[in-house]
Amino acid sequence: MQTAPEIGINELRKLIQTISERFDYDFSNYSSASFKRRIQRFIEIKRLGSVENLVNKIISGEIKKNELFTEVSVNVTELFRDPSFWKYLRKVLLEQNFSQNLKIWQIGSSSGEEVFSLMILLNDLNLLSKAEVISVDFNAGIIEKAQSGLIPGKSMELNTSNFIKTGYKGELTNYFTAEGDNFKLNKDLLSKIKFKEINFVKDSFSGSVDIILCRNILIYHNPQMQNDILKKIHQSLNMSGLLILGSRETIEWSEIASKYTMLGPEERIFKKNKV
Amino acid sequence: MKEVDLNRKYKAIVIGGSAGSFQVLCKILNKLPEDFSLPIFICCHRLKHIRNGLIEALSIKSIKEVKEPDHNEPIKRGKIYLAPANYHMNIELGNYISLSTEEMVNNSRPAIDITFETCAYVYKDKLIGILLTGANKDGALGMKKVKDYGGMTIIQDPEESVIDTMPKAAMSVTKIDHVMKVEEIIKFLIELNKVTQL
Repeated sequence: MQTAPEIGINELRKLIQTISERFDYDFSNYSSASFKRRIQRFIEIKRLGSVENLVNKIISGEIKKNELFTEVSVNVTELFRDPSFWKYLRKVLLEQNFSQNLKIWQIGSSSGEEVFSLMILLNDLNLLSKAEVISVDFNAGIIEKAQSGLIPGKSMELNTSNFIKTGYKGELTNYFTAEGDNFKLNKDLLSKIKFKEINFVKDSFSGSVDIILCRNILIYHNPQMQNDILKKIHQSLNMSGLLILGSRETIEWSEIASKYTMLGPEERIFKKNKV
Repeated sequence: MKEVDLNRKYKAIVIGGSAGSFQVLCKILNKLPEDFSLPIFICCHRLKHIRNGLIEALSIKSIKEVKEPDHNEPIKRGKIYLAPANYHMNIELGNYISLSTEEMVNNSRPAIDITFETCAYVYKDKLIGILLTGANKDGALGMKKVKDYGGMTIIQDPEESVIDTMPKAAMSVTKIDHVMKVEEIIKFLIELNKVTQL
């Protein structure tokens, strides 16, 4: 039993610089402990042996952007992750009484489960016709996967168990059609999602949005970047709009902390204050 | 108690445990002085879907508040941090805690190895690692990192442990500075606090 050699700070800087130059994405404000482990894991999977080899193969073009980014990001594959959250979100949306059209962003498409869950909820609440849903990710490769609407059949047991815990109506499988070993989200839901590639570090978010669902994205980033992302979100969110974070993410130490009120004691749903 | 190096250089304590460790943690936290000055990071194996309960139970037994940190939470003197359910807890350079949802390590999330390894990287020789009773080998490599960076390693006496797999696994991969019974761990922490308080 051996621990992998620790990646040195200089090696890491060199790698981040190379990725930034070649793939136009700056990882310098990623959470450093987990980023190092993701890189270590990638090196092991691809049998590269060292960070230096990884750097060289990025430069030579042997390692492609999409394959690296897909391994670096943690793509969790669960519908209705944290059922208690989805149960609470349904209650909150019912109380909001949306009169006009509803613009929603879901940040971090990953393999699609989060936005698929959202579509099922909107359908359940009869909000589908007035909702505009945009799902964004920094990784074009993973967006393609999400766009296919497919989820692996082997994850259906966990998905169904989550779905039952949310207390939503109907059967989860009614929203999907079996396709080989996979299940495909029904077209009426899938076609309503707009997918978009976005560079969280460089791009500004623009728009007047009513709900921003951004669960487990901040956990990849260090405090500085967390603050930057929250500021971008803040600028795009309408008055009384909802900012939704993962169960252990918070706005507490950021510049926007005083501008929101957390709804309920448990789930991380923040409502933008009217000023 | 055998001679222990009570040195004021220590800046943090990390504790790991699994099967049987809950009672042990309760005992330790119950006896910890209110003015205990070092931050304590605790990682113990817990059920994925049960978010609450453990923190409340530990808080009741503890004189000090036990907190499950949020991502990017700043580390404060004398605070006790418990790794939340279904997240790995990392200690980061720059004095804050990060959380991650990566794959399980040793079938565990939170994994003790991850908390110990990141803690060792940040605190180097100023860290004390304590591994308690447990039924698997998670934490062993973490203890090795603590030792490799010059920190102090303590395991709960296997004879006293409900299940001794975890402390014994640590013993097999690295040098253990002290084997202590729970009462000795408590006494050690109280004595250490007198030194680090100065």
